[in-house]
Amino acid sequence: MNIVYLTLGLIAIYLYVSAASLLWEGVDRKLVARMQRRMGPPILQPFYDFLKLVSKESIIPRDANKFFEIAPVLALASSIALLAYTPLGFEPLLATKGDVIVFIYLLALIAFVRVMGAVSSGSPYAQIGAQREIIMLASREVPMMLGLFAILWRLSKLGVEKPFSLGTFYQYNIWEIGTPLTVFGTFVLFIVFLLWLASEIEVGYFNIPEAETEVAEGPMAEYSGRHLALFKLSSALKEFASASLVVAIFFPWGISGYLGLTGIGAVVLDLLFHTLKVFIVLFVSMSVFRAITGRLRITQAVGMFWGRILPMSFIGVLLIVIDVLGVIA
Amino acid sequence: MPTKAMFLMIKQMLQRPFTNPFPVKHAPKDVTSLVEKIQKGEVKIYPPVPVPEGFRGKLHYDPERCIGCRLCITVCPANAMEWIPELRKIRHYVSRCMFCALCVDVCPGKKFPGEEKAVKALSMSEEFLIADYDKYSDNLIEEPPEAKEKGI
Ligand code: SF4
Ligand code: SF4
Repeated sequence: MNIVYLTLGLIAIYLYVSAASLLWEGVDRKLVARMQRRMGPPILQPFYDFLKLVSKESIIPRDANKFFEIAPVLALASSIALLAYTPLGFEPLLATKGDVIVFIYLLALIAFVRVMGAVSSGSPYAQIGAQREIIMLASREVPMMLGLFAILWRLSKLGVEKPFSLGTFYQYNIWEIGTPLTVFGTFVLFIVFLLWLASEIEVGYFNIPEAETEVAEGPMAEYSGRHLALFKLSSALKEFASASLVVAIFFPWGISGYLGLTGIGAVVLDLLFHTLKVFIVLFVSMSVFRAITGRLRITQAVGMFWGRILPMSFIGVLLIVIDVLGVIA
Repeated sequence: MPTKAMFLMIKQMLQRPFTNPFPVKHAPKDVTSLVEKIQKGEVKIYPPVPVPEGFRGKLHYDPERCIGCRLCITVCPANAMEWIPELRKIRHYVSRCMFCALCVDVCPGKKFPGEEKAVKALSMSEEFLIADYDKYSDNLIEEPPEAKEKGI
């Protein structure tokens, strides 16, 4: 693929995912409202919110340094870059050997840029939020990386041309290996990934850095106007990309193959089907989880990551490893 | 995991919302066209939640029945009543009133010939939508009509 098509593809994907992720935010707010017997906002509310934030005056605190204004742009830039590596029902645009590292790096970078922006604002509320965010970041990535690498390693055993690329999920999927140990291990990892997703998008138990009622919006305390709009958009994109990862690992099936479509029609259809799967995963991991659970304290959350989720991830990975190496054949 | 809460939430998701969409279901783009639509019957108005019996709304003042005894001025904790010496009547500022109805209790009222009992000059109405731009607007001041005409 040459570079012009790549650029056009990235722009198209960016526009599509922005629309889809903001639409999901609206659906999520509506669903959570209905769960609490409220009417909720209209489905398109996040678009209105975005336009309103863009048109508002942006206030820069006196103590803020230069990075305060750069951070939102960098966050959006890294989430757009992330889209080039996100599996969206078809191979990522820039799929190469080992691109999984870039994916994880960009995902962590968005959170890191947010923290940098918060620290630069000079507000103690934002500093506390930033501390919490960085603690969460350090805890949540370990179980996810362990599981992701184990699954990619298992798939690379089957003989793929680009090992450790997120595109391999569309060649083989982990369920079709089919031995009981792998299936059980994968199921355990699926639960780990759902919890990771909830913590990545910071809902339910893990809504700690942004805790509205405790630290007044945390890292976002000082942001307003178009800077806040950029952050909101980048976290919506990140939400979609993280959920896409979960969908790609565990439910990579497309439907264009069954319908015998090829070419651009297949890509569009797979993208739409992928979006549907993302919405379903987000419904479980975001809407329901957000409606039924309260926030944990930061110490409890860290304890949960290292004490429950990481061992769970270990168990899942060990089951897969035992299966491959045939230790108890 | 709080599974019980999950089932409750899913069940509630399928139920109707418990909201009174007062006054209309969707916020209007502009009020004038909304009013026109309501007059044509295209839009349905949802009434507010009904008030209970004995509700203390905006105070209603009937100057005809007022005997100028000033009891209401004496009793009002919020100083919402003003004495108009020229007319020997009172003026009431709704923006100061705290809707305790002490003045209604104390008002003796006046008995017109041919009536059984005296009727109080003050009474509590059921009106509660009394937001206004100006705290001295006509809507928020109850006074005898002559007071306005003479500009007292
Ligand atoms: S209702 Fe209470 S506060 Fe209001 S005018 Fe009467 S006595 Fe005063
Ligand atoms: S309103 Fe009633 S209490 Fe007040 S001065 Fe008139 S008669 Fe007396």
